[in-house]
Amino acid sequence: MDEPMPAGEEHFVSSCDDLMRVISQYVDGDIEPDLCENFEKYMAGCNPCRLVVDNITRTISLYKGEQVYEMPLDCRKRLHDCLREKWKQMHTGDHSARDV
Amino acid sequence: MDVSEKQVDLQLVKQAQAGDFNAFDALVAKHEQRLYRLAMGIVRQREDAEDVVQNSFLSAMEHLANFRGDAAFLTWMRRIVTNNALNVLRKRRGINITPNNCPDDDEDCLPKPEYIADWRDGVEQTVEKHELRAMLDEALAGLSDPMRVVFVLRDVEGMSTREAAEAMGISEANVKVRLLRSRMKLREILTQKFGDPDSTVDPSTVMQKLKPTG
Repeated sequence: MDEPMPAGEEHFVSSCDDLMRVISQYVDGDIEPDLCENFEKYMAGCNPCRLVVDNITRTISLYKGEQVYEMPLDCRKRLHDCLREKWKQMHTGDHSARDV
Repeated sequence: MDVSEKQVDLQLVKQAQAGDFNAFDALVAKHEQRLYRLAMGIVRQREDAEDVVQNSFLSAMEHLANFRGDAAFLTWMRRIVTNNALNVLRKRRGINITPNNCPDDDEDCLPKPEYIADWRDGVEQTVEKHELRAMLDEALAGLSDPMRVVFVLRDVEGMSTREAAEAMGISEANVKVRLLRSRMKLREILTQKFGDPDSTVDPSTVMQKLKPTG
């Protein structure tokens, strides 16, 4: 977990600009309670900010949840074959190594 | 990754250290998909990602005796894969991801939302999975390398700001700035795709000092 923002540095959200500056800390849950309350109060009165926060949260959630890249089967096979071969080379003459 | 999973990995590492290839192979099978995703997220080319993952596991095999289990096996592997993937980027385009050379590091110039709209309900359910993946991949491609790498490390891999900063060799402040920019840019791209036109709001209501995303 990242360090919360130091008190006094970003301590009050009174504009969309202020909100944008701390939006990452908010969506990460890395925001001090007072600032968080202030953030949410401002957001409740600003529909564009509320939508931007919601969009960002859903963007992150999509990338976390989706396996965007899947390792192809042929690639997996080459990987395991290569590692098996290397293991044999490394353990030639090594009596502690089991058969591969 | 929970504690029991770490323990399972540690047990497999110990067996592999004792000479059991099947134990090492099991570790590879368990983590290869995730590490491939990490590599692809950084290098974005299948052949390069394959090389990165293969070289990383080869390196892990060679240095297995040095692994003491202070960190989880996956954490160890993620560091190796990230280093190797970043080296590919550096070699490929001579890219510099150090703070002084990245135009995305200006803390005073915040990205401005251009298109603001509520997303349609159930995007994950209504868009075909392969189509959704293609859209997410295309959006990621819209980021510069330094921004994309930060997003992948922080939001896809779940690294802390400190871990991402160490992996990239930049300051934590720069990680935060790049992360904000990458999130805002991806939000912009995806909102163009998933936004409900009926819910569009005027971006001029958002403060004037911000500059357009991207």
